[in-house]
Amino acid sequence: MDNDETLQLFLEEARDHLRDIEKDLLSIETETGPADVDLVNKVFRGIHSIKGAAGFFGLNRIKEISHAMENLLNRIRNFEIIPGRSVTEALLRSADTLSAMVDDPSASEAVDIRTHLDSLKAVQSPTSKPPERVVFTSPDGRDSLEVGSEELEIARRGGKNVYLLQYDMIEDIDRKGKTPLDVLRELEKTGLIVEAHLRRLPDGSPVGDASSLPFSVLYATVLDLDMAALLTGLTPPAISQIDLPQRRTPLKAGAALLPPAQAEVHAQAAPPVAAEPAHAEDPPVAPDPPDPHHEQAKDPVAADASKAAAASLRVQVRTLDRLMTLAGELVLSRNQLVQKVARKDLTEIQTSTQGLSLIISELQEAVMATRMQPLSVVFGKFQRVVRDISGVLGKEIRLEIEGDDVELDKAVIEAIGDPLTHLVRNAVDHGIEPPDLREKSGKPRMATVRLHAFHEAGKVVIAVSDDGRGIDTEAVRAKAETLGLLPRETLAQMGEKELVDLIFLPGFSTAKAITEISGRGVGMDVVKTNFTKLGGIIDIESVKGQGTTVRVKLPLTLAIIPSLLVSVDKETYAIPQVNLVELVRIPAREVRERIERIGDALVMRLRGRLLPLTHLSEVLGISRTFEDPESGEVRTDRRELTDRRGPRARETAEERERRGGRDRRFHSSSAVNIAVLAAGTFQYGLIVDRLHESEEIVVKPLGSHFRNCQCYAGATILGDGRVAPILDVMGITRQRKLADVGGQRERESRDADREGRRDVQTMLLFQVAPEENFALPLALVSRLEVVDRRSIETLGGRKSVQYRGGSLPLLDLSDTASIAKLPELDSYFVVVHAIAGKEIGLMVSQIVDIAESTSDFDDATFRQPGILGSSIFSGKTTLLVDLYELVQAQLPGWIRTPSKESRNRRILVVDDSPFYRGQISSFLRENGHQVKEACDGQEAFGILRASRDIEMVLTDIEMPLMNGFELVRQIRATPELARLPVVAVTSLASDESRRAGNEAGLDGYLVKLDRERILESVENILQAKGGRP
Amino acid sequence: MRTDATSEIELTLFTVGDILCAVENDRVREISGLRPITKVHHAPAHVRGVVNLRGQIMTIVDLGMRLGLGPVPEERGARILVVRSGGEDVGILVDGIEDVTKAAQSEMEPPPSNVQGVSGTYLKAILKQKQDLACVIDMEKILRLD
Repeated sequence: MDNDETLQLFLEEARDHLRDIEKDLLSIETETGPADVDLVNKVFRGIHSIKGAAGFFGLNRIKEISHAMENLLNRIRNFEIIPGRSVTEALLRSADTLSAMVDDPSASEAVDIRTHLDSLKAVQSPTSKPPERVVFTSPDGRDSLEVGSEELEIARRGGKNVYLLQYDMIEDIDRKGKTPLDVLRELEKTGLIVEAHLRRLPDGSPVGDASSLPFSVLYATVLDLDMAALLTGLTPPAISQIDLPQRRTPLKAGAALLPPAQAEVHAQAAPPVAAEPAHAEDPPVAPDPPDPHHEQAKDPVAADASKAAAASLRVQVRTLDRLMTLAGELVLSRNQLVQKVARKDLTEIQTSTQGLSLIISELQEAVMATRMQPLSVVFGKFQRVVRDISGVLGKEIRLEIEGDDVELDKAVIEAIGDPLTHLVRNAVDHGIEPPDLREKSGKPRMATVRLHAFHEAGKVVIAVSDDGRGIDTEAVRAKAETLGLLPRETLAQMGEKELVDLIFLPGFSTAKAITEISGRGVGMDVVKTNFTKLGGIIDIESVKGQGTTVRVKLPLTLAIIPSLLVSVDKETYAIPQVNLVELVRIPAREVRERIERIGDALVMRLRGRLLPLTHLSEVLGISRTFEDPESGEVRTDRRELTDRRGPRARETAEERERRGGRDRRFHSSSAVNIAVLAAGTFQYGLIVDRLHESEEIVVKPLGSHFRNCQCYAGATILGDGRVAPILDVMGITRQRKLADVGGQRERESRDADREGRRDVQTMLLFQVAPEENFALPLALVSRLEVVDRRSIETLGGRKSVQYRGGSLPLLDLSDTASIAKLPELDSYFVVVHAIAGKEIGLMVSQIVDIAESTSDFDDATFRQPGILGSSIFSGKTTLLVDLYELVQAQLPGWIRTPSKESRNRRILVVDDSPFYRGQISSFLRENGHQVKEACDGQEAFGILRASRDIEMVLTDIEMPLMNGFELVRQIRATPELARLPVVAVTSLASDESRRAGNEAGLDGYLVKLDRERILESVENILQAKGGRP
Repeated sequence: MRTDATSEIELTLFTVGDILCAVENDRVREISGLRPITKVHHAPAHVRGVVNLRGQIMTIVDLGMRLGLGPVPEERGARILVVRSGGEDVGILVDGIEDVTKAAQSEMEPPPSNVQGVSGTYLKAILKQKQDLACVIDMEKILRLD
């Protein structure tokens, strides 16, 4: 037996011993009088054997702590010590730590066990004191403060720093016209008060004379030492940082002190600060000094961030009333149902069931509502944080808060406080430049930090943005290289966005020097981890010199999540919708060309990039089965998606084909269903047998027997009462060791994606005649209709159809453009558009798809009347229809030309896409306007400053260098341009971007290629603005 | 917790394969009928899967597999003994319930190393009553996470 196996055996045995120890110790405690010897013996033996074996394996810390426990148990066994509360307490706590050490023996050597050793020893001394108190002595030794270690642990959650603050009541508080209460309240805005204490003499009277009265506070906050010092107005040594070894964090024993803090920290059970008569047995917890400030520190507000928040919750009476009403309804419905069931009236039962399900979903909503809390709970404290920090840093910062009424589940609200504080603090501290520097770079002295929460697609987005210096990506690149985080070549290929994302790397953010040049970065990995734990997605966007925006997308609740149900074999699994990118079904005939094997990895081609694939059955380690189409038998599926055994396997596959196309890859049922999943930024495809419906599921934990199963995130109960495991999308990547394949190609396509994001135009793809594809911006389409051929009337050479009491003119693209003729069909699809305030319909034979255009259009090759240009969609050349031209050609006079006086205006068109820029410019010119063109915001702003005669700007939003929002902000900030009309012409028209546009100062929002509306608003806006300047 | 030679304990007798087993009644929270078990892959071999116990997801341990007797078939008579372990309920899948009995400490004998192919590791004692021999199962060991 090798050593490893022996160690495992020992650990297993140790766990066995420890499992019962808690129960046993508690029963020992409840014994009155002398201890139950058998029970004590049992515990003693267990600890003793752990001690012995630990020594054998060189696990010295485990040995030490078990040795100390053994000593104490021995004395209990010999009736030398009565096992009171404090004694069992010490044993229980030590046992907890011991369990943790046994669970992770490799880290056990680094665990600090002195607290336990001391408390185990202390309870044996006649002057025993509650062992769970930790005493802090100030650097000057004048004062000491004691605190429960549990309280301390809670306070330090979320990576908070702990400081010992020593105020002088006279100097620091009274003379500044404050009260200790003010001080405490101030502190509470940015952190948590663990303990506050006015030093007292043994007789209870405060120490000090008229000139000095020490008042100590133990304070936990996310602020770093410099910041905390600035905030509190204390300088070291009056403020000192306390570093305690974290639980199970490897930290050198004895490294409890952090420079420059000289605070002497030692856990001790030594004589109490305020001398008390010693209790031989079961001493009570040291009574709180009768200090009103002390009481204040324990105020529920302060405790809110810790225990109390989890225990109780404020719920609106309205919500409770609604719950009550629904509960009443539920009872009523049940009664009805019972009666109806008794009558066996099926239709009646169905009605009742429907009613019942309605009430239940309302009830579910109402119950969830009780857990919902407004973000103001979190946002509220930031005004003060920003004000105070910026004050001490000498920065002028305004905090704008929007959307603090947005509600989130209380679990989410509680968890986002710390990471958000971190983000705000980073923005203020590192993002915003000093006012003088801002002035020099032409920015207002007053900087803005913006906290903005809003709903987006069933999630809540919180954006923290600043108009500071932005992230210097070159500096990030250089730093990443110095730190050796990534190879030089990789870094050299990275785009701006990828470089910005580097600050989330763990190694990066700890590099403190970077903060000055990067403008962001401290602890961003921690922030990311915290948000990711909540199922959130964090994204950072930064423009050098213009500011940084960190966007966090969070689920509304963690308890009920939308999910997609999939199945493999006959087993059903749920995939959280959060992780789902898209569903792909590859028809049998395309399987071979789209799925291939690169090295060991199965990959799929998806829009020009390679996506790693894994089969759910492989993830689960089950053999795939299939139903034999002839016999209906279920057999093991030996088919491989690709020929993974090399050429020999390929031969057999081909042989099988030759045997008469019986290969099931060519069977219609062999289409492959793939769920494309995102684990963070990494995406992969999960092959499943069947895709089912989406469902809202209640997330429930799996038992501890499954703790080694990486691929589950929990389980849920389906409608039929069965249990379905929830797949852990991240865990699967780890388990299957999925990695980027063809990384280079991926990056290129990501870049292409990013380019695309600048100009995503959603297109309706259709065919007039088979084999020729056409596209129209979906934004211009009112709706789709199907028209029967017999209902089409032809009058005066024009086609129309009776429609909603009027007549809808029908256009045939092949009448104007020289393309394949529209075939004779029984019915046509009609794409309905509104143009010139009336509707027209375009007759097509087939609607193909709706697709996002990410590439630019070619406006030369296929240009002809009725056709604007061409682009490639799903590998096919697709012609873009010029609706305006079509209408003018087929329905002359339909569109009225703008009035004469509105013409001949000087308009600046800004768009990075040459196609769209050319389109807009050309129809403006056709209408008699003078047009200047710019391909990004920066160029546009240059033109505006140089030539003062521009009367209006039409701008794209997503552009490189300077986007449309920024352009309009700059225009509004320039006095002589402030009143210039600026209209966005974009393909992105979400409510959020509209709102952002309005805030930035846009006069309007138009859809690209909507020529009519664009001309109309040019006219209207210029008329509204009055004559020429 | 103290045991007393004269005190009686209540036990539930049940079968796993051909073997008569027993468990102290105070360990069993409830006995439930068989319900559909969802298999959870990658779980230890003796963990059969999970069931829905009134909205709670409960792990099912196959006692047959644990004792090395082969899986307990999901048949009509099969029962789930719900026991509490480390803050969660775990269901123990057994072939069927036989009886409930009272036994004095004197009727318990220390387990031999092997009983009809069952390793003594999981046995607390052997209960000898009249002509019956029952293996008293050590639930802690059965539920141990390995």
